[in-house]
Amino acid sequence: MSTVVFSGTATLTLLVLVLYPLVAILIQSILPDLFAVPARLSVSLDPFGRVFSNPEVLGALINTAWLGAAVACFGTLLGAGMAVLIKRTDLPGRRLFNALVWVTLFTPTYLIALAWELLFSRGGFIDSAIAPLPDGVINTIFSPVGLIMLLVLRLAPFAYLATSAALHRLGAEYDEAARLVGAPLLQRWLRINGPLLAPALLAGALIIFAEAISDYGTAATIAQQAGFNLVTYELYAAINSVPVDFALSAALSCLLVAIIAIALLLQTRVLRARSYQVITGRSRSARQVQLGLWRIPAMAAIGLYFAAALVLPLLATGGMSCMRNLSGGFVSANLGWDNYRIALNTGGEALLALWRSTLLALGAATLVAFLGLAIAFTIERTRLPGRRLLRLLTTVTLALPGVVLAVGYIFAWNEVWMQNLFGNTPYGTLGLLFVAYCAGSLPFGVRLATGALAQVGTNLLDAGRLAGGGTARLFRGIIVPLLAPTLLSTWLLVFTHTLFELPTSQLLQPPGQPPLPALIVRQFTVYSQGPATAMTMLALAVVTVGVLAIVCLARLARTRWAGASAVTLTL
Amino acid sequence: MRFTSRTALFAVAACTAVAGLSPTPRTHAQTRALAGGSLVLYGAEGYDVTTGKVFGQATGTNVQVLDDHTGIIIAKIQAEGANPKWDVVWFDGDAAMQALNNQGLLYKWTPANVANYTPLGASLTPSDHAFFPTGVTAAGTIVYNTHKLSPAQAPKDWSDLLKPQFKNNVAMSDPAYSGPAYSMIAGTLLRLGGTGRALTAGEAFYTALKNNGPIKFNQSNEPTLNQVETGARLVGIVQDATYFATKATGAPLAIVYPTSGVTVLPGVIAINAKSKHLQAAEAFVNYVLSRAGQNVMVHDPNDSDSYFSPIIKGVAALPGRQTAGINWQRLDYVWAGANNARIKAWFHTHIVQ
Repeated sequence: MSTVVFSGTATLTLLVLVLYPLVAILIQSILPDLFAVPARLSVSLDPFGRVFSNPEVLGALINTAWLGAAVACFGTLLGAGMAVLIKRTDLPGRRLFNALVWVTLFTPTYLIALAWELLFSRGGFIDSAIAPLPDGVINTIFSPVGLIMLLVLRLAPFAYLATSAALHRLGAEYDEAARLVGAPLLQRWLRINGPLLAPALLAGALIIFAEAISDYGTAATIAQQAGFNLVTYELYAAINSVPVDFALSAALSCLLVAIIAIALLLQTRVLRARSYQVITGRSRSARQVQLGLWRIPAMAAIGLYFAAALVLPLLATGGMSCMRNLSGGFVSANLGWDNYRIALNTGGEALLALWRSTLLALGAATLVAFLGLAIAFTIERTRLPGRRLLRLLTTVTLALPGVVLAVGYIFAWNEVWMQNLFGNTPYGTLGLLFVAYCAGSLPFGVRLATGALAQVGTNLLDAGRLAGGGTARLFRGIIVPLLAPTLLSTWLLVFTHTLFELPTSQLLQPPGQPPLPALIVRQFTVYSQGPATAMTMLALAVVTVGVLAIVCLARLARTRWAGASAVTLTL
Repeated sequence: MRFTSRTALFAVAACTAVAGLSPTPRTHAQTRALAGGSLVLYGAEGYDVTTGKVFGQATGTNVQVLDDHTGIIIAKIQAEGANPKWDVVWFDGDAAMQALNNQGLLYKWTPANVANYTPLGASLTPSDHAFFPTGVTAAGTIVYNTHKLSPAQAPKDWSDLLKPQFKNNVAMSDPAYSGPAYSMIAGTLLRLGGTGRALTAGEAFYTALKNNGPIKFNQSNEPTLNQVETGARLVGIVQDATYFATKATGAPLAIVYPTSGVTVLPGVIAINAKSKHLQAAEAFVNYVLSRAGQNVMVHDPNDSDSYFSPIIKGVAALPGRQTAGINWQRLDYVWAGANNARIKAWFHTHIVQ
């Protein structure tokens, strides 16, 4: 298979899955009546006019930009720091910590927000049961500072993933050379390893930035209480108005697109300056840094992170799921499994939804891991025209709240001509829900694979080509084995992301076949928070078991891959 | 991709769903007429899935229910545009339903069971018969924490919330997220505006409430109720049905229906004007307005939506639900719908921010 056919197929998939539905919604910012009944092709600047004549939107735009930048900086520092400590030192318990990062990553954001509310609000657990909280503490938690802290805790694992995958491939040659000429440890990390990790760090930072500006769970709760207006809030208000203002939401989405395009431009500028190839086929494995007495503060710091990001939210949610009523306190008379009984009251429906979502997530994870790699290859390793636009497209999708792409899917795949031609449309089927899940996660796959591919030496691929390997052969023999850890990271990320993905699940669920997230939200709405937290705990337990099983399987597979790549490299 | 789960789902439905159903001879007649028919219901009511299942089982109709937030359902319906996939829609809020009616999306007809309405139910039915109320709740009323306030200390009317003892102690939903909160606010503006409908009096009330604050805003009723339950706030403004479900778990809460009145928020149901399954859709709506259908809806004491106040003659509310002594005030939903964006924007800029 020639490169053109291979990359062409990958590109076409991206265009159909992501570009077409995005255009279907974004174009309504200038053609507001395109999907009206009857449709009209009248160009209007009214949506943008309404955006820019509203001083609040301008404030929201500025807030969103600096919030994203701050979260990206701190989140990348935190995530990369943890990756170095866990992957390159003799830190005790590093295997456990590595596993905990994954659990943090698939813990839904609303749990952290919920836990903070329960713990830190006036009359909350700490205030009423331990010691009265001073106003200063409460005001800080529910302020932009608290919002940044929450998002950093939540999103740092993305930087951790990107960095640890890169560390896995970062050999010891440069480090050893510097050591021989007497460079101290700190200098070697700051001057050599740090810069070599730059592509991965920037990839992680960009994902965090995009996720932060598109997050609206926290924009809705903590940001609102802090009087801190964000673009996502305005966007939500436009979609939630009656009648729905799709044109305004499209114009607001274009603002988010503009912000991420600037961030992407900056990233490209930085990376273009030099080469970051570290995988040459001759890499030596790195030596482990002995922490000595530093292990105590290092463990304390990582322990503190997991306490805030994972343990407290889980304890708060777990505790809440066992309490008959919230105010009864944590005493035996008020504890029981009632909430779990109510949550499962729907009979087989809850378990069926869990099963349905597990299958969808398995499929989406597998497809996205490989498709993402193929698209990243097209962007990084071919000279096809328009490959830069592919990069722009995948990153833009990350920066848009899931609701935008999901709404775009309705417009794009429920066209009257499809109905007339085929007697039905893809919209409203499980198949389209699956495709939309893939489209929503594909940018993660592409971004993570791009960061990793940047480090694979071109000479390795050239050698493969000279030996007569086609693109498929290059993938099977070189790229896939070398990037197996990244593929696995992507796979797990998409799997857990899909299991808890909300807006797509809500907007594209087929009638009568709800996926799990839609069901959990229904329980939050219909029942009191107790049963909904119980359902969340059940889902988390199932996901944990599933991920552990997959990690074990992958470990077996990796041993086989390692053997295969050894064979290829001696070609 | 298609899972075999649907068959399993209906098997489960058949096993679990019969409680509360007392089929009348009329439903038996429908069984034969509708066997094999199908129906897509978009609902935002806690009881929509069960009601669909029970109806489907009784009539042999394949009822596919999509349960979601009201906002999501309206967004879906509008985005589906010229190629709608729904037959029946069911959620809380006549103002939002009127917005769909304004777009010509609703089928106008008269179900036989409109004869079952109580006077309140009949008064809430629009004259063009584009949609039908199925039960009522108070869009917003006052709840307080019984550990912190005695009944004597509790507010009696909306204006009491402006007193110093409730400073920084009120929680409510943000109308940008919550449909009930919008109806409540629109209702307040209309009540205080008098016959001239001047918005200034109502806006002054919310500004005073904010100045006696800040008000704690949440996305929905649940967090507000939790904040009152845990004592983080002394009083909250919530949709009453949510209160009754939480109260049933033994929470230290009590409710006050302000003497000056509460805005009625009806559950409303309507049929798609372009529905290809009109016969099944009509039968379903008629069933919801029957005693049998209503008894399914008030069936689950854990479901907050089930604590609505019935407006069909001879139907009892769930035990614990107060139905008497409430000064119901109808919302001019045409006005509320037409002023939706304007009022929400004002409220967001001046009160929430």
